[in-house]
Amino acid sequence: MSSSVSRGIWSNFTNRSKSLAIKSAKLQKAVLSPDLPNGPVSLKALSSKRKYYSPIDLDKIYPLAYEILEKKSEKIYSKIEDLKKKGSENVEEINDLLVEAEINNPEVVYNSLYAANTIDLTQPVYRHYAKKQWESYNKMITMQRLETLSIIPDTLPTLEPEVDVHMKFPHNNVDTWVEPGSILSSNVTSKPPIFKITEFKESKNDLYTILIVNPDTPDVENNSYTTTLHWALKDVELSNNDSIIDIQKLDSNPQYSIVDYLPPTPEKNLGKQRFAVWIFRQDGKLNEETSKVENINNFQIREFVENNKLQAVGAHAWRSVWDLNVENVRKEYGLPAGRIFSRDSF
Amino acid sequence: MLLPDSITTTKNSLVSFIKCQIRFAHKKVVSSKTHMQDSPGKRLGAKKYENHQVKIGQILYRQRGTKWYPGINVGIGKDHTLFALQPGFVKYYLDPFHPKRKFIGIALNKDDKLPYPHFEPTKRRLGRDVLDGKKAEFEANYLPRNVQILQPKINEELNKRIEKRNGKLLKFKDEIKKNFPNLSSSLTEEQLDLAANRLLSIDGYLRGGKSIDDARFSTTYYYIYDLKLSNKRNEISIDELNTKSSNYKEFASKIDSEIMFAPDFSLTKNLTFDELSSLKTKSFAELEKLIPDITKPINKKTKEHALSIINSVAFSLKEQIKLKRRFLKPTLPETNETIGNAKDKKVIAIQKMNIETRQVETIYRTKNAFLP
Repeated sequence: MSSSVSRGIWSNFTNRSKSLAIKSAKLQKAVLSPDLPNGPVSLKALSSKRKYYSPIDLDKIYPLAYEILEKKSEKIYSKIEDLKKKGSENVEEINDLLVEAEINNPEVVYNSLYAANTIDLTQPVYRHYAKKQWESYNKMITMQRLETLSIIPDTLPTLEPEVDVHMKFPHNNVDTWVEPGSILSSNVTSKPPIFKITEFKESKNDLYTILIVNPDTPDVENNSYTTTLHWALKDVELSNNDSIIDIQKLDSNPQYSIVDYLPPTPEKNLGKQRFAVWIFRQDGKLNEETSKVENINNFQIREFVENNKLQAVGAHAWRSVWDLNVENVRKEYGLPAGRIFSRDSF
Repeated sequence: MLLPDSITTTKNSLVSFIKCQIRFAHKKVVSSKTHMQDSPGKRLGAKKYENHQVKIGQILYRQRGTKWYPGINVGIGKDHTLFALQPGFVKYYLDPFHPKRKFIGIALNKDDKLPYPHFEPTKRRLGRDVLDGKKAEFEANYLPRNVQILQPKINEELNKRIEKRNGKLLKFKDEIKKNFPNLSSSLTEEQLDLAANRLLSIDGYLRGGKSIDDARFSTTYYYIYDLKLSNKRNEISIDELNTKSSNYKEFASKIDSEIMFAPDFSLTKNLTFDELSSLKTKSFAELEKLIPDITKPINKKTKEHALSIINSVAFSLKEQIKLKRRFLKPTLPETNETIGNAKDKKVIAIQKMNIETRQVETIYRTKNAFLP
């Protein structure tokens, strides 16, 4: 018996991306062998390997099932070929077919489930799995935080999320993504954050705008609140395989910045302030005139979005509150000392 | 004549007694179900009506259960009493998002209609004063009790951290002076400080899991970021900023071309990527030459030599562990050379389960079966 079940399209990488295969040769051999000799690779101890018995008749059933699925996939690939020959430019249709062709490939399923951090998002099928994963948790968390914290509608009316937004701050040497809505200290937020924006549609050099706004800036004169713009980036170029906005990118593209980063410095006795991160997809490059922000105080985010024809595709949020380090951050950025508010509301 | 009269009256009464039922004194045994069950009125109902102006905390409605729900700027008590959370005007309203509920809310202005439009930003009141004078001073110095208690501990930890950091800086400085005399002779004392600070920062990033290139880049980027901030504070001019940042970049490349971190975070001579990979292949070839057959026993000297090759700069920590597992097995496989007899002296008896016979067997291993 052959050591591999795969003989058809799924082991042929002339027209298919190599990222559709499992990288590690050992793992690949285990997934593609008909009867799992010595058990799954995850079994480390020799005694566990010896104890392993593969399910009865797996060596007959698995290759059969694999063959059926592979043949189906082959048919779909030939359909795609026909479409391409006809000169079809319906990218979405082709992408859907590509997902369908690979969705049951054991190697692809393995990669999507167990190697989710290293999958190649230029492949439609991996985007499909990544989207499913996002919808099952991160999307819900983000929307719940945006709603319960009233970031929608206090900043923008609503959001139909399309991208997964991850954010972290470079405050220490350990990288951890921030959960939406968490309360961060002024020390953590003293330097601009790093973003990872995952698109689930095909994306090549799409342009994005990023705004960080604080709708809880006190407006003592009117006994109300205004919105302050804390950071604004425009024309940020991202693709499926290049989705991170980090210091390397910011350093080599100084033209991204509309407004320099202003760290949160909440004043005493004002409670928690919300900092909303909004990600917009652009139609094209932004107009110099309309994208100019003269005054970051009393920033009208709705007007800005309308004037620049931005489409909100993702959001993130954190909260800040006065702490003992706020004065240091103010000094670092040359800001005046913070005011002190009465403890109780009148 | 009196007597017959009295006789007639007694007779009459007797007749009437016989005619009527006689009632004796009695007590009612069963009471009515609803007797004594009434209570005084609880004064429920609206306390404030539409458009009444209220202050914070004023009660708007007393009720049993939630006949009315708390709407915008209204709170609810444990007995479902509705009260104002903001000063304003009372509004009784319906909300299309909750068609079965009635709400009482507080509008901030008299002309406002509740509920506020769903997609508009909520109208909010700041409701706090900016303090000045003595009150502000008191408030500025005020800290919650738990923070006050923690403060000395925090300061102690902070001092410890600063001390540790300074110790590390001194160590780096000494190491530069000792191991990189050419570099240190070309540096002023100030530059030496700067170099030590740079190495400290890179060390931190490396320990956090960044690659050496990323660590170097981050260090430079955030140094220049701090310079930009000092320009923002008007401490240096824009020209000064440009010269300083380009100077630092030059300085950084000078340091980086000389000093690198070994996998155990000690300072070593910098190696380029090509140099490192060629060293890696060379070291690996040397190892294979030193231990050509991993099933054969080796002596202590060979082991030491192999370890010195493995623990060199060429291999990362992960690779080092892999190589150690591959070339320096703690117990060799069972070959004729490493299996002894029960009669032999200096053999080590090992109890081992034989999977096939399902019995525990005693295996005698000679001393050279184990890593010296």
